[in-house]
Amino acid sequence: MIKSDIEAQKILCTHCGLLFDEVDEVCNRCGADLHQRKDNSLVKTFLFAISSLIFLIPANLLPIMVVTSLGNKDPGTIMGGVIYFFHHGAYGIGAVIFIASIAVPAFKLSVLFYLLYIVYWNKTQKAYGAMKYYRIISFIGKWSMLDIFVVALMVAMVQFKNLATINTGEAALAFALAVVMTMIATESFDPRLLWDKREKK
Amino acid sequence: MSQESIKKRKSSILIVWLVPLLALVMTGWMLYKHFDEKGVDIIVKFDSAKGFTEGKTALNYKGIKIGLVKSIDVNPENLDEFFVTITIEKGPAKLVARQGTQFWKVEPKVSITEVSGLDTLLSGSYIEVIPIANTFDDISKGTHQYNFIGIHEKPIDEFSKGRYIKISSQKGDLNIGAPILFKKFLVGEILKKELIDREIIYTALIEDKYKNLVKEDSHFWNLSGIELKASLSGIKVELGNIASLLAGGVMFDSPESSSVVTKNHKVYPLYKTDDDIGLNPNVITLRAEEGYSLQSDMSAIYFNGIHAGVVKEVEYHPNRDMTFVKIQLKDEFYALLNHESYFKIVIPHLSLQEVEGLDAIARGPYIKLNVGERLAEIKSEYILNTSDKEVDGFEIVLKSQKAVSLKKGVGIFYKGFEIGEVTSVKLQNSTNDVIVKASIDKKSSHLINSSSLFYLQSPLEFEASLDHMYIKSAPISSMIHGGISFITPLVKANKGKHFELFEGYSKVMSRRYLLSGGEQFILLLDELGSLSKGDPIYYKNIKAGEVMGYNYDFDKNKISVELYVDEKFSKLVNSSTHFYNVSGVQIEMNRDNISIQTQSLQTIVQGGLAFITLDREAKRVTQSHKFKLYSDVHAADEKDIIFEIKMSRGYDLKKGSALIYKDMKIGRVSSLRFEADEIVAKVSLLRKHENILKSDSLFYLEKFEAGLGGIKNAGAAVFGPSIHVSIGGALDTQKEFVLSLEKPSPFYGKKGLRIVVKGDRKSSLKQSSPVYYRQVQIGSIESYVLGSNAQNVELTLFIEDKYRHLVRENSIFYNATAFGMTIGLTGVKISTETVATMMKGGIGMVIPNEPEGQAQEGKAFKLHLKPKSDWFEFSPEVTR
Repeated sequence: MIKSDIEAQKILCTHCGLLFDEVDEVCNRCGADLHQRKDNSLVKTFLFAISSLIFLIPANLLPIMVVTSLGNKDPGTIMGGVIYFFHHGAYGIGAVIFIASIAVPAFKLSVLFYLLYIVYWNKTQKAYGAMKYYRIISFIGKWSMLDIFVVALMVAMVQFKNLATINTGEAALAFALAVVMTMIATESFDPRLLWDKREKK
Repeated sequence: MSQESIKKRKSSILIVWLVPLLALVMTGWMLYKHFDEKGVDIIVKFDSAKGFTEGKTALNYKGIKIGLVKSIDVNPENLDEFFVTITIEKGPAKLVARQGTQFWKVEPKVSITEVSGLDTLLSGSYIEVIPIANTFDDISKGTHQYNFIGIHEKPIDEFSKGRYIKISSQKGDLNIGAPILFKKFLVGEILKKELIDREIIYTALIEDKYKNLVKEDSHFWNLSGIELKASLSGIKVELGNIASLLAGGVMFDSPESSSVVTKNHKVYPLYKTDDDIGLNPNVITLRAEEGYSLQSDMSAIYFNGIHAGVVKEVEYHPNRDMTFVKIQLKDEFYALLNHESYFKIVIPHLSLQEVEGLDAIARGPYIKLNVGERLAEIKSEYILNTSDKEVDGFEIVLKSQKAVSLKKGVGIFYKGFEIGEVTSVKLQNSTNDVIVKASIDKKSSHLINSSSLFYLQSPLEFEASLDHMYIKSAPISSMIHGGISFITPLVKANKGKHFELFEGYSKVMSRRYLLSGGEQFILLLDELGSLSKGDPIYYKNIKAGEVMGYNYDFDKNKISVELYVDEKFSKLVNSSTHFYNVSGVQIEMNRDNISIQTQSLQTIVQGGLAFITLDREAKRVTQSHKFKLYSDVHAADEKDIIFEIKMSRGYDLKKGSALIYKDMKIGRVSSLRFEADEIVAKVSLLRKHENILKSDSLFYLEKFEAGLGGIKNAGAAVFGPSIHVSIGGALDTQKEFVLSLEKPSPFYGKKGLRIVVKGDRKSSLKQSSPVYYRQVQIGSIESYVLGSNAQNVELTLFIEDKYRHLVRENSIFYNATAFGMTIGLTGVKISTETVATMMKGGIGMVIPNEPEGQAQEGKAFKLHLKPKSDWFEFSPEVTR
């Protein structure tokens, strides 16, 4: 039977990794606040995930990139771009954009909500699998701004005056916010919660 | 966990709750903004969706994209129609989605006049929109509308600055974009073309800066690319600019005075050519027998040779079997039109009668318009005549002796202007005269009165003199079939109707002289000389008349010259008048002087006559009086006596050769003529020398002679031979002489004693050798001849009158030439009368101491060869 930190009345500074034998508020080594579990982790995660979900709506509906060629504005949504590339046989690029811009955020949000579901409804038996997912989303979290990078790069590179220019659309902001929200949500989630109930059982 | 930290955590969780809220707000705002900006959907119905792409095809307003085609659907009810849903941006949508907005498709269009929509080559076709008004407020008044019907072509941009005008035309040959030119300068273009009520209405826009050129009375005419005008006067080719060459164009011009148009859409008629400008819109109908191959818009109406209108239409009415020619006249000529207006077709006829249609060969048939008296009433229909209007004039009758080659229609000309024409030519049987009836235009009737002289116009009259020179050619028609001209010398004369028709101008001129009070005289000449028609007649170097003509008189073998002398000079002509020739220059040269005699410069070139009247009071002459022509003024003024010298040869004598007496000119040869193998020289002698014409006067010739014996009469070498005279001593006179071949002795005709001496030989004696008495010359040898039986030489001595008493019956003559020259031991002794006799020879005379009576004329003496010495001792007393 493994004892959890709460049960063992110990506290770990998650910043410097010092383990305190008794519960204290501030780490006397690095000065960080000490919490046995992240404060309001579930609520925070939920709220940020919801926000992310909200942001994803305009991010996908609105054009992320506006291509103006010969005075002709051509706004493109993310999905529009994917379809465009697939139509033109650029399956690789299409796939990358699809994965980075649609699949990954969707996957991350799904995982987050799954985690919340497991924690909230104590589906402890699934905690082990959920943990794997958590690791994945934590890992890919740093790549989730890929789409924004692409847009930023395109905007910077394609500025040929009247011939062709590319500007960011409203969706870019929404998408960036959505990604940020998922990242914060991921950060807000304390994976230890997965195990607390399980330990209790 | 401290209370504080819990509080802190509670507050942080509250903030976190705001995050999704914020996200919702943000997203909501973004979506709202997006879809708000996305605009309004409208549906436009097009006949064709060619070139449209959903989500691609733009809706542009003046080059700005304001919307996008969202979808294209086929009208399920009519498969030829398409509903194009266009999403218009929010802002413009408010203005576009209003009633009256027009949509049309813009495609790339490359035509001659226009290259448009090139941008669509890259961007694809798009839809262009134009709202109903150009101010926000005006548009806002319109009701909202979301369903529209697309139009086919670009509508007129009503809001472009400039002047919109409408041009109505019968033909639609102008294209959209065709230029509107003012003085060939592009000021606008045709924007729209529509067919309304069988009329083409062009809408044109004149650029703003040129809109003041459009005036109320501006004329617009079609500018065809190439204009070719060809007539007898020349060919004119005019090329418009390239655009108008291909697409046609409209040119306009505005009168300066007209006011500037201030409102748009004024309708102007489009004239076919600028010739049509000013055509009165009222169409005049002419009824014609046939069409005369008149061509609408080509055949012209001429009024007095001025382009007055154009044939608009030629119609044939089968029911009435009539051709109707519809014409339009220019305003100014339309105003002239009245009840009496007369239209005549001019067709090129190449017959001799219809030469006036000559211009119609090049021009094509045309209609000639004559306007009658001004009665302001216009007929609804005129008749197109084939012949000229009967001239409303008065009739004159011309009578001619000769058959005149005149025909009906031949013109009557006054100073080259046709003022009438011949109406009939008939031969009157009774008098064998040709009666020509002519009609003279009333306007010109004042030109004719009883003094008028009519004559047949010759095609070409050439007259040259120092006064004037002209070549007068009659009009072409009269060149071919004659014409009648007339002059009216007197302004004030009675009206007349019957005239004589003269053959030519010269006949008329003589009549004119008579009419103006002059008189006609006749001069009889042996030969015409240099006289010619028109030569002047001078009186005291003033022109007094003219030679009018001459005729050869068979009966008299002479030439009768008709002279006309002006009124004021004709009084001077009477029976004592002598006409003489002043032709050319008379240069007289003799040893005294050179005289050049001319009348006037004109006579030098032209010759002429002059006259003098010796006695002003003399009897007047009758018409039939024949004057003689004197060779020169000397002959004519009767100061000279004319006598004749016959000679066997001419001896180079000329008219003007001098008659000389004692080295003085006293007369001249006035003419030379042949008569029975002899030459008769008429010599005119100054009257004061009349006394030379003694019956025994001797006329002889002095010619230049050069020989061994010396040079004689050097003067004659320069001045020609001259006739010399030795006056005889006879009392009676005569006027006919024979030229003596020998030069008479210097003593010929002199008063003195003539005696004969007979000697054995002539020795060195010569004519003029002196006769001495006591070494004083008392006479000379006049002549010598061989004695009748050749036994001696007979010398005729001329003893001067004052010495005649010295010659006595017993006078002794000796040859004084034979001087004694004795050569002795003591030397040479020369004895002679004088040294002169040594050279010339001479005859000496002695009188014995007892002189006998005076010797008689012609007494013969013996000539002694030598004088005897005792002869010199004679010293008789000789008394008269």
